This record gives sequence, structure tokens and C-alpha cells, in this order.
Amino acid sequence: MLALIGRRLVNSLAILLVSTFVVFTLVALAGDPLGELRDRQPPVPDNVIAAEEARLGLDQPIPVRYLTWLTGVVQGDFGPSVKPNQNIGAELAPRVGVTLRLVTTAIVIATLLALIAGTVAALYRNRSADHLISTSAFILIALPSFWLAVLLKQGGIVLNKTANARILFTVGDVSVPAPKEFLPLMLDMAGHLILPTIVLTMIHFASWSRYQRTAVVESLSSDHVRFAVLRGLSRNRIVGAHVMRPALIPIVTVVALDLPALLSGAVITETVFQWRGMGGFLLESIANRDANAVMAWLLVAAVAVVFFNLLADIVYAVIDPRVRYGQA
Amino acid sequence: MSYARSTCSLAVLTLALAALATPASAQPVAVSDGGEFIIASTNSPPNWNPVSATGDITTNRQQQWPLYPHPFLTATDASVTLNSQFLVSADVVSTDPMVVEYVIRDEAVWSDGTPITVEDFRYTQQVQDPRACADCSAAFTQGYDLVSSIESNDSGKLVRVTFETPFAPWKTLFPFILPAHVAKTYGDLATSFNVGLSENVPTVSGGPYMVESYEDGVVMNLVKNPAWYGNPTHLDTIRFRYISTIGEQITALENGEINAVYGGATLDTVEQVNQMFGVNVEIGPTLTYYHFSLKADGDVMADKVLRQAMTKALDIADMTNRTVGQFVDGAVPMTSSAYIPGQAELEDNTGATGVGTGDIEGAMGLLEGAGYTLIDGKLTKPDGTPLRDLEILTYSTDPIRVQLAELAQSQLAKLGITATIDAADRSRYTPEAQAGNFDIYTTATALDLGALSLAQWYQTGAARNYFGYSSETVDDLIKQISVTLDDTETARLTNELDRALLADGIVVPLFPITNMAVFSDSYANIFVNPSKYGTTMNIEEWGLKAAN
Repeated sequence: MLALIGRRLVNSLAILLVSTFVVFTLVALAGDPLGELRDRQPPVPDNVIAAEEARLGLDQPIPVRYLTWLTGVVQGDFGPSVKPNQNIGAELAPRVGVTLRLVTTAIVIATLLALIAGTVAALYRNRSADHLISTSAFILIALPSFWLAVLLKQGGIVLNKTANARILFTVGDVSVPAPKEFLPLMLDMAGHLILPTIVLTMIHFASWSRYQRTAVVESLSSDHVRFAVLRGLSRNRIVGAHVMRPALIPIVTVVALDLPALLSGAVITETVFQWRGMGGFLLESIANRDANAVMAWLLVAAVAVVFFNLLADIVYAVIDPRVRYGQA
Repeated sequence: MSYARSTCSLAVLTLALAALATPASAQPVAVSDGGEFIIASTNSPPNWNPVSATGDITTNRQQQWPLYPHPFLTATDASVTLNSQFLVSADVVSTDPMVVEYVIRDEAVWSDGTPITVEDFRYTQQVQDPRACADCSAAFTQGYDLVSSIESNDSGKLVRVTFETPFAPWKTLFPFILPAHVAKTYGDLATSFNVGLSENVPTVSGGPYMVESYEDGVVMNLVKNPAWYGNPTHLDTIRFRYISTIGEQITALENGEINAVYGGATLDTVEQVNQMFGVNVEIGPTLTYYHFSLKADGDVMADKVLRQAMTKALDIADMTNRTVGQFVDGAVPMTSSAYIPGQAELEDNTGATGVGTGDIEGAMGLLEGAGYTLIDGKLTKPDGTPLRDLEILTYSTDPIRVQLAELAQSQLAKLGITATIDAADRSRYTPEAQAGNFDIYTTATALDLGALSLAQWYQTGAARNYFGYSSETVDDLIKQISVTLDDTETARLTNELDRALLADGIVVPLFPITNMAVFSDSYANIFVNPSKYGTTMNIEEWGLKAAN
């Protein structure tokens, strides 16, 4: 297992190095980060623009800028931001926390829902429950997350007006000013979490439930399940012990591989709900043509992808005896 | 804002839509003391120094206005008046050399009790004068670099500024007076300006409010400045809530999470807020206006007759109606590139020069007179070759500018001119203009600096003269205006300059950009301010409506 992890890490590092150079070059070529400054009315003095170019290293060729960035990153310095007061490293830490709060909640709920819905649909294949779940899943898969988010916000406003209380919130992860007492604060944060979590959950639960349904259907038709039926085991025991467990492998793979997509989904969700997470950071950085900030986002996202893929490998070994026996 | 109050406002179901086509004088109403107010802003301060190059952006100027003293104020009708809360007087006391005397009120102090004096003026001038501080990253240096001395009396409340050569728009100087005693704690001029005042949240205020706390990218909380020397403030707390798009701001306003939205008006946003109950909607023009500017050199655009015909064929009124006219009642087209509709100095210079009248026949007459012909619907040059396709450079992220380019394209087609549109994003828009890769440039100009705003585009060799334009008449008029201290004479010369530009077929003014203020109807005295400093200019007047 350790050798496997080691090989994966080395591969990931090589991929990371190449991808950072490609992304750095693309962002650097995408446009002038000082475009807004140059377009000011009245014009900003030339010496000021030259000073900004020097601060951001724009007066250097791209390979030199990349090497400077790489050297800095190794030493824990993400480089200067287009926003002069922004320390990229200090900015990222709380944003990662915000995004993880949203994404983790959504992953847990979506996975549970997908397991239940996919299994029920498979067990009642081609019956009403299957049709209902499958149709709902296809509708949710077809919905753009942006549209769903806007729709939910409007729904939240209607609900608040009907209830004559502000239960659901449309911007931020906590009210301004935040409640000072613990319980009101928790309720306030929950009120901010509900709508964005629903958006992220719905989009991913739908596709994951389809994988789960297929896995359970395949598992139901396997020899060991037929043998268990012939042995006269109860339905619950067969489903719990012999169907569900092997059916978990595909869903673990899909969840792990979907993590980048989930982070991308969070970009849209965070933007619509104005969460100050990684998504907002990426969009803002791209809008500012802030190469160093985009690279910092990429690094964090890449590390997250590598980590979750490794986690998936470890979970395989836990849930699939064949993996453990293969190692032995 | 409590939810109870929000729903109470909703129950009233009042919608006050004041869509004003021209800037008008707004009268404050009675408000009560206390309460808090949350206004959305698209950006948190990129830099805490509002006169630094990176800090001098619209949202930052607006947020920091309540923290500094200002010699002059721009009223809602675009008139500029002395800020009598801060100054006793500000006058030109000598013209040769030009000397301006500011007299600061004795009561004017910073929030830590330090008097506001000549030292603050001196520091503010030095950091924006490259002769005194070459390394200071100031956004604007014009005028400051003409100051030869700043003197005072014993109290320091008299500020006597002597200029080497006259600087006509002297009232635009010192829009933010920086605290010299705070700057001193940060080090020398450049360090204090570029680092100290830029990177640190202001702890001292010379305005009606001061920063209580700041959460980066989330909120800035302002409370009353206990040492404030001006008219009484009303709201206890004002919060700037950072929400990056105006669409999300409006949704948050609808849900009662914020109390106000202020920003550019578009058809979508105006339709959205018109559906809401319990809010006041004010729409008004700003001192920034859209215009086309034409290239004046190159293979075809160097021909003045062609430019004159094109500017005559474009229809300003039609473009106004089809764009801003869709959401502003009675939107008024520009008749000048120097003044917006409603300003006292405005003259009908487009009418006088025939620019922007949509007169296709007149334009064709001009072209035919110069030897151009229309063959198979395509304009042909006097030498018999077809006119090449012209390129209109526009800004892809501004839907109005894109629409204006499309309208120009269709109107020029009536002259047999084929125009292609290059809709560039922010990264390419200015570089393309700087490189001169266009024939017609769709852009906007802020008139806060008066004729200086035109000089930056059209003076020979000016920083933004991307057009290859040069005119002795225009240069001479700009020179005269820059040293004329009489307002009436300045207006006369500026209108003359405007007519010269229009007659040269170099500019087609269109209409002012409109802003909107949308706020819960339990509050009052929040106005659209046409200046680049925005709505917070009268922040001390904001408050909860007084009970009748």
C-alpha cells in the first residue's frame, strides 16, 4: 500500500509541475492585469505603472516569472497579488475552510442520498419507485447549478415572507453582524448553509444515485448473491451483507473522481450565494488576471484532488477484500 | 435592519420611482437619530489610500469618503460648492501668481483630537507632487506639481497655496485631505503613502464616521466620529457589505439582508427593482458619458470629410432611446462633449455643428461633394476604390457599449459603410485602443475635471490620444482654459473647444451613464450623486425617516 501511495505521489508531483507551468503561462498570456490601471481617467502617471509592473514582475519574461513563483512557493511565499493589500497565503487559509465546510456537508448528504435512492431504485427496478427516482435524477442532472441556485434563492425569499421571519439567507456564510450567542449563531450559520448545500447536493446526488443503481443491479445478478438466495438467507441480510458492500466500490470511485467537479460546482454556488470561499477567490483572481493567485488556487485544488484519490484507494482496500488479499 | 421593520415596509407596498433624466437638486427630509444601515458594495478596498493609484477606484472613493475632510462637495445637480462644514472659505486671492487661500474651521479636528491644519494640506500636496516624492504611487498629480509653496499663519488654520502657473480646475485638488500626523508615524513620504496609509485600516477619521472594524471581503463597519465637527450625523452604524454582483445585491435587498444597493443602472436591474415593494428607487445621470471617438489618421480616417459625414449620420437621439431610454423616463441625449444635460454651462453644440443628427442626406451630400460615390450600395472613395471595412472597438463586458456599436454599425450602413465590431474584454480593450487598432472607439469619459477631461483625449500628444488627432485650435483653447480662472470665461472657452472637436468629426457624445440608488423606504436622504465620489457625499444626512 505504501509503495502504491508513493508511486501515486510521485506521479501527482510531476503532473502538478507541468500543469502549473501550463496554467501560469495561460493566465500570464490571458491579458494585462494592469489594464484597469492603464485605463483610468485621468491617466495614472507612467512611473506609477512602471512601479506596479516591477512589483508584479510583469517586466520579466514568463519563464523567469514562473521560476520566481516556483522558488517562492517552495519557501511558502505565493508571490505578490494584483491587489496590493492581498497576502495570497493568508487569504487562502480561511477560504479553504469555508469551501470545505460547504463541500463536505454536500458530499456527505449527497452520498447518503445517492446510496439510499440508488439502492431503492435497483431493488424495485422497473417499478414505480424506480421510475420516480430515475426521473427525478434525470431532471436534476439536466438542471444547471446556476439556475437552480437562483431559483432556490427566490424560493427562500418567498418562504421567509410567508413565515414572516428570516429563516433562509441569500448571501454569505453568516449574517452581518453575526449573532453573539452560541445557539443563535449556529442557527444563523445553518440558515446560510441550507440553500447552497441543497444546490451542491442535488446536482451531485442525482448522478451518483445512477451509478449506485447500476452497481446494485449488477451486484444483485452476481453468483454470490444467487448462492446466498439459494442458502435461504433473509432479504435484509443478503442486501446488507452481499449486495451493498461490493456495490460501494463504484460510488467511492465516482465520488473521489467527482471531487474536482464538486469544487467547480462550488465555484458557481459560492458566487451565487456570495460565500467567501475558494470559488470566489478563483473567479476574482481570473477577473484580475492575477496569475499568482490563480496558481495558489490551483495548488490547493490539485492537492485536494490527489488527497481524495489516495483516500479512495485506501477505502477500496477497506471495503473490498480482494484488494487486501492482493496486497497480501 | 430588523426583519419586523422590513416586513412592515413591505406591507406599506410603496414604490417611489424617481427616474430623472437630468441631474436635479435633491432636498433632504427630516430623519430620526439612531439605527443602522447596510449598503452593498461590489468591492472591498484594494488599498486604504483613496488617492493612491490602486486605491483610486469608484467603490473605494465612495466607501472612504466618510473618513476624510473635503474642501468641496458636488451636489446632486452636479454643482460644486464649498464644504462649509470643513472650511470657512476657499478663494483665489491672487491671479499672478495664482494663490488660493483655504481657511479651515477652528473646530475641524481628526477623531483623535489633532487639529486639521496646513500640515495635512502640505502632506497631501507633497505625496501627489512627483517633484517632492518621485516614488509615491499617486493616482493623480496634475495641479499638485504646479504648487510652488504652501504657507500658513500661527494657528495653521490658514492654508495659502501658491502656484507656479495658474491651474484653472483648482477646486478638484485635495478631494481627500490625508492625516499628516498619522503618516508621520509610518516613515518618510513614500513609505507612509505607499505602505502606511495604503496597507493599514484607517484608525483616525476627519469625516463624520470612522472605521469601527473591518472584515476583509465581508464588511466594513462605520460608527459615528465622536470628534466630528460638522452637521450632526443620524445613523449610529453604517455597514458596507461586500457582494460582488449587483444582481446578488438586489436579491439580498429583497430578502432584507441589506438596506441599500447603489450602482450602475441597466435594463435588467431596473426591471428587477421595479418588481420590489417597500423600496425607493432613484435613478440619475452621472458626470460620465458614453461617446464614440474617431481615429483621425490612417488610410481613410485622416479624411476630415469622411469623419464629418459619419458623425453627421450617427443618430444620438435614436441611440439614447434604444439603450438608456428603455429604462430611464425621458432620457436626454448629450448635446455637448463637455457638459452633461442639466448643467448650467451646457450649449447645443451638436445642433450647431450637425453632429449626431442622423442626417443621412446631409452626410451623403458631404461625401459626394468630396468625390465619394455610392456604387451598388457600397461607398467608393474619390480614387474609385471601395472604402475598406471600418472597425468599431467596443467593450464586451458592457452591454450598452456593445449595443451602441451595433447601432452605429447599422446607421453607418446607410452611407454604404461596412463596419465590423471588435468586442474586446478588459484585458484587450485598452491595449487595442493604445495600439490604434480601431477606426471608431466606443468609450466613456468622466467630466469631473471639466475641460481637463477632454484634454486627456484630444490634446496633441495627450496620454489617451489614441486617435492620432492634432489641432492647433484645440491645443490653443485647452491652453487658454487651463489658465482661465473666471468661470464664465471658462464655460465660453470650453464650449468653443467642444464645437471645434465636433466640427473636426472626432467625437460623438451620446448620453450620460446612469446610476441608481435602491433602498428600503424606511430610510431617507440617499441620493444619486453624479460625481465620481458617489452617494456617500451626504452620508451625515442619511437616516431613518422621522415619524410624522
